[in-house]
Amino acid sequence: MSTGTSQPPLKFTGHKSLVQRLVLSTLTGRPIRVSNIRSSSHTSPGLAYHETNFIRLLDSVTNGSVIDFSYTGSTIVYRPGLITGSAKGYGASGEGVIRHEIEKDCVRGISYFLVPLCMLAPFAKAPVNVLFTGSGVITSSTEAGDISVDTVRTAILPLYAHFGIQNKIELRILKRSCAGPGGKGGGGEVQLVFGHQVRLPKTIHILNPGRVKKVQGVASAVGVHRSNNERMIRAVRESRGPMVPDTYIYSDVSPAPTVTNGDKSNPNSGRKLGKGFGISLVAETNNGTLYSADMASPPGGEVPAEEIGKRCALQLLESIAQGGCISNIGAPTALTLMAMGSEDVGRLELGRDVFASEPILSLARDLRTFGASQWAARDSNATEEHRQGNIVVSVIGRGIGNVGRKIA
Amino acid sequence: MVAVLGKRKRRVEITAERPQQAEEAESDNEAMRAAFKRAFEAKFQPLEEVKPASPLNAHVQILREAEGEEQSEFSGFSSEDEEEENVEVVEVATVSRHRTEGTIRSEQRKFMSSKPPISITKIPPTTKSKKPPSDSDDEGEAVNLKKDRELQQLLRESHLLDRTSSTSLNPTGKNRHKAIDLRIQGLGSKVSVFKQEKMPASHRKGIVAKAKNREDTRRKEAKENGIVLERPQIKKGRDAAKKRDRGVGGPAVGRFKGGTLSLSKGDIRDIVGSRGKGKGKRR
Repeated sequence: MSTGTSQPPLKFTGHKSLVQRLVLSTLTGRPIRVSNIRSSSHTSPGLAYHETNFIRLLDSVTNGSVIDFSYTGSTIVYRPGLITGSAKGYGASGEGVIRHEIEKDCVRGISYFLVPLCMLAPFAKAPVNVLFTGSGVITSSTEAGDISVDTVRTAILPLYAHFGIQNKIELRILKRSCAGPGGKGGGGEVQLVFGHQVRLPKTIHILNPGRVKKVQGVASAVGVHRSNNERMIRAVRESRGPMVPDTYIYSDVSPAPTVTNGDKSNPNSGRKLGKGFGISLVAETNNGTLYSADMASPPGGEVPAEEIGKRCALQLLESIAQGGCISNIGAPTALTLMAMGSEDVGRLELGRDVFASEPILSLARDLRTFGASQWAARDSNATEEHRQGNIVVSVIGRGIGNVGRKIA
Repeated sequence: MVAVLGKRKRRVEITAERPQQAEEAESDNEAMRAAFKRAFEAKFQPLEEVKPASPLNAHVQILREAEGEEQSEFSGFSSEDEEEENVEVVEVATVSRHRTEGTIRSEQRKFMSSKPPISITKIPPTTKSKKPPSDSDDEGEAVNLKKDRELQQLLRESHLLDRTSSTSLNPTGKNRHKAIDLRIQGLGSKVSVFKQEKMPASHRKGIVAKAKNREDTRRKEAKENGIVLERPQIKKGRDAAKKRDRGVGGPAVGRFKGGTLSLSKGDIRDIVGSRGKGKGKRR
């Protein structure tokens, strides 16, 4: 794509929402130039480790992308190629699996990579099958604000079903890991299989959030005693009140992953990395709306399990209180897919606080910069009390969709 | 004593009436109690009737009604209760559903599997209802197949049709022969019946030259217009002619004549290989 038309790159500044811009660039085919990335920092200017690693991931799932860095890494020019997915011969192994290594310097959770990759995957030419491995894969939620891999599976991936993307999607958690010492690294292993590619995602009209009827969740303990799980679950049950009796929280206990230190003379040497515990909760309404919450023990420890469980329950209540048909963590995914849909008006009811949050507004601005039509927002005219103040967002799709599918 | 007897008789009836699925232990208990009572009554005065437990009570009620012993008639509510406004309806929504161990297990399996939990995503049915198969389906199938074949044939021979031909789509005259020739070739004939075997050399040269000229012009124009054409077919040159079939039993190299295999100089050069030209060692 970059060879055929030589459009001038769109110009952005700063490291905020860099991933989102890279994703939109890949989806729309417009090259971008991002400058002033942490240029004011004297100690660590330029791209952080997780950002460069994400660019490497983009490089491995696309074909023909051109990436240029400046000397300090504070400027990057990205010319996107076609999203090939895990097609054989494009860096994928014989079974069609791309093996993506994340080193131990990574401070972001694996959802930082998974969520954008899932946005690209429906528009790929071949199925996407990526195995995240290495000493930097943190599957739990992190203090940087990343959600856990359980929440990605139970709260983000089900959103794709609304767009008619629901087959052959799997997120295998092969090894769990919390954040390592200092919040850096972990030895988890996660495989994403996204085998449903579409020409265009369906237009959605989701306007009724419904009422919460069920809460499900996963409590996981990695390398610590299983009683932590029970304590967290108990705290959640105590604080969620008597209104939702259907609460099912499953407990998952696994040993801490061992990370080798690269000593070839002694391959068994290594250390256990990423001990800790965490909980992920998903509340489901009768209309299929999902609200989620995530909490994990901090890398330094010293927070009791009851406290973690209670905080998670409160976070879930906050997410439910914000309302809307898509919670704040799923809204960027849903709105991006809507913008990439057919040339038709899709409507989505969002909570006022969700819509007015910084990521959503920056997404709206970025989409406009990338040439998508503007959004229309109006107050919801629903009469129910819990839907007062909600906002209905109307998004017109670009109607381009999957370029790889168009040719094929 | 008669009354006692009658009572005893009724009691027997009651025990007979009891449903079979009642607890074994309870019936044992009841029988034991009855035996004790009988012994007591034989020794002392008959006991006044004790109200039995509720299921038994119900049975007694039914029995009595069956025997025609009229109990207190229910005469309906008194007039004070007729004000319906005072009736307060309290709905108790029992939210706790009975969940067996099995359903919880299956839900856990659904939720904890590597796939996104499907219980959460209610997928609207997208499959359209198939129309019921009719009796004339096979017939229609045959007719469709016939029409399909005709259409294919028409497409294949459509270049033979011209404006002068009659309204029917079947080729006539010279074109009919050409169409038949096409069909024969389609069925596996090697050469066209219209291919001229013998002709003057100048004619053949002319034909070949014209074809080559036409092809060159086509390629040149395509190149000028930026159209990518198919690759030109590689002509079979001398090499193809050289490697002729030597027949079965003949020598692979040289010439066998008069009981001797004679090798030409060229054959020897081929076998030995060229020497002296390449300076380096062959590896």
